[in-house]
Amino acid sequence: MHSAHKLAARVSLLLAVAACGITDEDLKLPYTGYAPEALGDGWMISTPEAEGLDPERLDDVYGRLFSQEAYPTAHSLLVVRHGRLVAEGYARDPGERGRPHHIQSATKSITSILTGIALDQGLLSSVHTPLYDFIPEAFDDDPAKRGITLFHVLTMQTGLEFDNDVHTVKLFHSTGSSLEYVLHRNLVFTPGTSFYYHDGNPQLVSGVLQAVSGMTEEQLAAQYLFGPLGIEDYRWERHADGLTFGAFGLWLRPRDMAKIGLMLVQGGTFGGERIVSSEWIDEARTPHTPQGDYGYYFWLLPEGVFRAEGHGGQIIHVVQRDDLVVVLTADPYSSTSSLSPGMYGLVDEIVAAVRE
Amino acid sequence: MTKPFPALSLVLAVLSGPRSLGAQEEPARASSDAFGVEAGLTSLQLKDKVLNPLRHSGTFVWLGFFHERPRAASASRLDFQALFNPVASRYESEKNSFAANLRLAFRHAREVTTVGPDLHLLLGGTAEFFSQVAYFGDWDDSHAYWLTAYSLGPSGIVDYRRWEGQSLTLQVSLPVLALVSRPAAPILHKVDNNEFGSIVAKLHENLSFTSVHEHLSLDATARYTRHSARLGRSLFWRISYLHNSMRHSEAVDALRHTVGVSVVF
Repeated sequence: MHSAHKLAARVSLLLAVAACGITDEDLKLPYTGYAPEALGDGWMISTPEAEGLDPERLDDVYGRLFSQEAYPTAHSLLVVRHGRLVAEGYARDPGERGRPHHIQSATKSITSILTGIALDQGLLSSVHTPLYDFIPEAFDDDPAKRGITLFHVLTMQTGLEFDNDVHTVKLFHSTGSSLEYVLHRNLVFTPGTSFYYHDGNPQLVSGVLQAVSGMTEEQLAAQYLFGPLGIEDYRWERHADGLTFGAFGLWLRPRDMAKIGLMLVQGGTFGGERIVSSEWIDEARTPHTPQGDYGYYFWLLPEGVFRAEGHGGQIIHVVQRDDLVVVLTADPYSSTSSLSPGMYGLVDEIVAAVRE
Repeated sequence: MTKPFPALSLVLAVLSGPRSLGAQEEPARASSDAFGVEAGLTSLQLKDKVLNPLRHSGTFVWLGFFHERPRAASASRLDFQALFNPVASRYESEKNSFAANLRLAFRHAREVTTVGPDLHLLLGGTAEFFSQVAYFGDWDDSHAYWLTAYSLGPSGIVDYRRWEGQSLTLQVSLPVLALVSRPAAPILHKVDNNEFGSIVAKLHENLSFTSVHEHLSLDATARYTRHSARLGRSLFWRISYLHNSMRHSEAVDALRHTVGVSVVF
């Protein structure tokens, strides 16, 4: 009897623990301000007042970034003005400042910058060169595809059928040539006649960059972009064939995303060094599609504003008019519209906080 | 709004059954092998910190199958459940997330003592395969979150038969050795391969031996049964609690309450 009682008591205790239920934890940290910390990582730190930004509006924006009630997928928000980091907040974990974050399709914009660098370096002569001249082995017998140029690829106008919801997964896990995987898909319209955004086209650019440079896109980035910007801690996924993924798969720290933005807002220079030509940046932020909102892998907004944007809310927002860069990161695989509607408005409100 | 009364009536009808039970028909602990079906409602709370620290919860129907082999001084039972459970966090108005479970558990216990004529204590072991795949559609449209465990451990049954033709049992199992697979954290690849073979392979990634210090899995069932020669009917409440904190991953907690009826054929 005694042993039965003891067993019953212990089982009851375990049952009681289990029956208490699983607690729901807060997703975000308490808000304690947005002042950036000087880390000796090359960033000059300043204040909103010194750089002509309304501190109260910034405080309001950051308060909402850290709110438990809104934007549950938001991670970080950084503001750079006049080359200085003036505001920074990590709503989930301050450790994210030091960790690379998947920037999703904002990777495409890095691919665009590297294409400009390849032109500057003389590795490419023109964006109007047929793709077939670079990677003929990846083409099938369809003669219409030989009319695809690098320009068509950079502006999402190849006409190759590629449904991101289906073919990105297949591309990512395919074991043959990633270039063949994309180029062997059907043409659904004549190249250059319509805009069709997908993850296949930037993979072709990655193939071209490797063909002309003898380096993977990642190696090219390390030498000509990340190295000069002091970006050391990053990760970039490769396909099984060794090609760097041109459309996605790059992990960058938020402060390093801001360095990319700073280089863009300064017209291609960083720390006094030319990284990419200003002509390329001007071309990359010029509308090249019928809708007028897409350049070379950059999304274009009114008044000359452009940005790199990735799924879930990974944004490098560049406002050359105001010498302003805003970086936003969020859960990289989440639905912004379902969970964090209006989150991109935080970026717009930062822009609206410019006083002079 | 759901009306509970038809379901409640059905439960009572199943439990009350035909009034043909007599003392002479009351089976002793020894009985023949039997297959059975369980049905009911199950409520799941799930928190997988590889995704985030939010609790996802939801209630859904339960359907399980089992095979019992009661003997004079022992009892064996094989359970099989394949469950689908929509869940949502506090931030979601629609349930675009779910957890799918597959569980196969074998338990065998022998009588170790009796307390008077009514109370029997059986002790033995349990061997279990459990796999849970969760998909949090709004939070992560690219990866599966899983826990797969092959586990062994003790189990016990307290069987109380004070009333004629009826019994009250409490069964508890607590695996102490487990071979467990959990996703590595953080997830550092863009998207999972959604082909069947790849999913099965993924559910067995990073399989590691562990014990209760990292993998606590408690399964307890309280069951009231009315016996007859041809048909047994039970009303049961089952609680399953699972906590895993493997070194290469983040903690996951899953708590499931199930209330239902079972019928033995």
